Amino acid sequence: MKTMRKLAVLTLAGTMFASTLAMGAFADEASDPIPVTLVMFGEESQRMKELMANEIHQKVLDEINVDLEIQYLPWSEYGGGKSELMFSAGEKFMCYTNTEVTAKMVGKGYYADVTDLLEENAPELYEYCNEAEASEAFKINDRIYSITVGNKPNAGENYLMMVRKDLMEEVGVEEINTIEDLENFYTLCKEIHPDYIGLGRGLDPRVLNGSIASEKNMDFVNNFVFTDANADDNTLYSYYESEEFKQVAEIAARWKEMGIIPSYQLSNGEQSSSEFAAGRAMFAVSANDRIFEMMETVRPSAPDALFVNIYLGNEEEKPLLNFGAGNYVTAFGISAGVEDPEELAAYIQVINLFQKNQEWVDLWVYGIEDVDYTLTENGRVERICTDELIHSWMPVNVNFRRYPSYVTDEQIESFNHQADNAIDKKTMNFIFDTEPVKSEYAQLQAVESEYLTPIANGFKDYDENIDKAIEKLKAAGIDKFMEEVQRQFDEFKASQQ
Amino acid sequence: MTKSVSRSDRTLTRIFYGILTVFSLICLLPIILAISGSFSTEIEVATKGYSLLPRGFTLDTYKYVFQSQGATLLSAYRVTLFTTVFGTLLSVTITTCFAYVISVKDFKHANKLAFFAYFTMLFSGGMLPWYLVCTKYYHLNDTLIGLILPYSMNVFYMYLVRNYIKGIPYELTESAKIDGAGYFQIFIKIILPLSKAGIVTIVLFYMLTFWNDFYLPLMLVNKDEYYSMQYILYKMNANIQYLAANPSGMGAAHIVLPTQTIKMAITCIAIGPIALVYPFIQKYFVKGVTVGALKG
Repeated sequence: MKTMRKLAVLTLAGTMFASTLAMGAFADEASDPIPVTLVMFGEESQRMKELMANEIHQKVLDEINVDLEIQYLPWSEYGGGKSELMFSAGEKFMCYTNTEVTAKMVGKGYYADVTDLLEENAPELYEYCNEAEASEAFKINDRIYSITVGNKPNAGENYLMMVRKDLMEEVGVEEINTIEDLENFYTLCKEIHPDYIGLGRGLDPRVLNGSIASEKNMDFVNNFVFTDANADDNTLYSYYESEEFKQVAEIAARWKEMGIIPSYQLSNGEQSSSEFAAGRAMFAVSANDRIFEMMETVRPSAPDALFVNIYLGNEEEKPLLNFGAGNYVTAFGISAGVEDPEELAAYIQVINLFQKNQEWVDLWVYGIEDVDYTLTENGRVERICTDELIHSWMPVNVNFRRYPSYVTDEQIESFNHQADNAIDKKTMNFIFDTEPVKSEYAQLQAVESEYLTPIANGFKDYDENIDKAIEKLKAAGIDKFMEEVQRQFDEFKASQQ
Repeated sequence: MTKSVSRSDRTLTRIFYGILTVFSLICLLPIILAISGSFSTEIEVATKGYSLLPRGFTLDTYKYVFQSQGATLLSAYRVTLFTTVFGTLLSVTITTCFAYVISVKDFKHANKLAFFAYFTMLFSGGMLPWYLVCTKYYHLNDTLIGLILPYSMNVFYMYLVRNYIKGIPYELTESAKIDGAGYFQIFIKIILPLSKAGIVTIVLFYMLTFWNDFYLPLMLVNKDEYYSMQYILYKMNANIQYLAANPSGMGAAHIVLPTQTIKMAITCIAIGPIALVYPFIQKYFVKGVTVGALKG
């Protein structure tokens, strides 16, 4: 009996030992997938949810052995709020970012330094996205903290006006080149469509840059400060105190009077955006590339909507400005909570998948071929499921771009022409650190929304109200603010040389 | 004399009723506009604005909402109902128990406990420590209990109930004690029945808190199966507000706005049940607050 018991114990111990060894060997063969969390802002569509539960998740797992989870937060949490709280708590995740947010987060120690791992783990970003140049915008003390994605010319952001070409044809307007042409188009269109509004999505002073008499090619640092992109010096100007603002305000006042700027623009700005999305606005401030996104937004409501991007001015006198260093579209910051180099590499590899090849870009943007979309003979895409998957603007890359079937050759030509003729922004890569003047900046913003926005949108008369507004700007510290921006800008320019 | 006083009283009452009616109508107007908007066609709302009666009556918005987001909304409803019912039960239990304990006269630590609770009304640990405690130590993220536990005792409501209990004559509990009742028995058989109005008040307060809460889902929830109705509404509005505040911001150009009628329909779906329950318990609500205040 004793011998039997001994035998049983030995057999059990042997089995346990063997199984432990076997488990070790198995673990070596296929290690556990590394969990990676990507936080996106906005809403997750139903189809994206399905794809993330099945096809995309599995494909990422097979490709780089990563267990990818995508979480969604409201836009209000971008660059602060919950996302900042998650960074400060050291949670492991990544989310998209921009240069300003990166500077803020790196200052607080929230972003992981990816300098040493980037090139090795994201070779396709270097191949297709010009990562070496693009990452310059996210270098702080010569270390890279954010990973850029996408590759598209970013010319004329907010300097262009996208006008409904289908409406132009309807009212017999062939071409729009000047502000007078635009106003004429509005008047004619309003007669046929009295319920349509003129300008959707609000006014941006940049769009009038070409129309005003000033010779300066306005290149903005922020709402308060601009420089002249055509000039050789680095002088910065206070926008609201300038002659340029006066001229913009006069046009805005005329537009308000004519009804081009809706009467509710200041009290309910989102309404004019909704009108635009519903296909009931004649034009809106645009960017070189935005026209394609906006067609996608508007066409479900107005299937015939076709846009043309117009520069209201002379491109030779005031060329459009190219915004993007390296032409990246967006960037991702990884939490400093991801400390383990293997994990950090997995995060970078996921970002690399956004641009790995045509197949991956199609999967992220359009889903599964013949289920979510089909390809026409000339490579144009026709979507069967119109749910947005990963934000379609995010991985836009000239190397992988597929235009929808409704985009015209003329639009593509115009896109390329504007991109080719744009000059680099003088303020490109300049990040103004507001910390030394943060109290002045906060006060200036308050003055702006109370006194200047109504003038800028034509709701208050310039001549009657500007003196008081400038007095308030002075009291809020605009002079000190300008001095600080100029100092930082000069330093930045000196460091570039 | 009496006649003239009563006449002036009547006049005064009529004036007050008049003012109250106007005030109520003002309060009611946005809700009526929301309901009417949700049954109107999108084009009518966009071109002519909101109206008291639906313009171009249609059920399409509700059909669209339930077809496109039906599963999410249904799940959000379940979460909201669960947190409201169980959250209220748990919170009321903890609050009344605590209130009773600190109102027992011969409990020597009562003052310490009262101060312990009161202290949290004056000083807060801050958002980050709160977040860390909830997520790293208690692991409340992505759990249903996480949507309940942080609100399980509101100190203000606790003091409201304590004041109520303090108003109950001491002789009653003393005689029960002489008859051999323990503290638990006194609490169940004497204190609870006599503080009914106060407890119903905090039941309503807690119900409203849980029903209207979007903060805990925002902070502690990442998986959509734990989204509550109010969080879905909050997300929608937060996206719109971001767009309004940053019209030329990087992301703003890309946000697709929900249409007006969809916003209204989801608002109606979210406020519906609580608006239906409210009239039935509001008499306790008024009574509870006023009596509590007098006795406090």
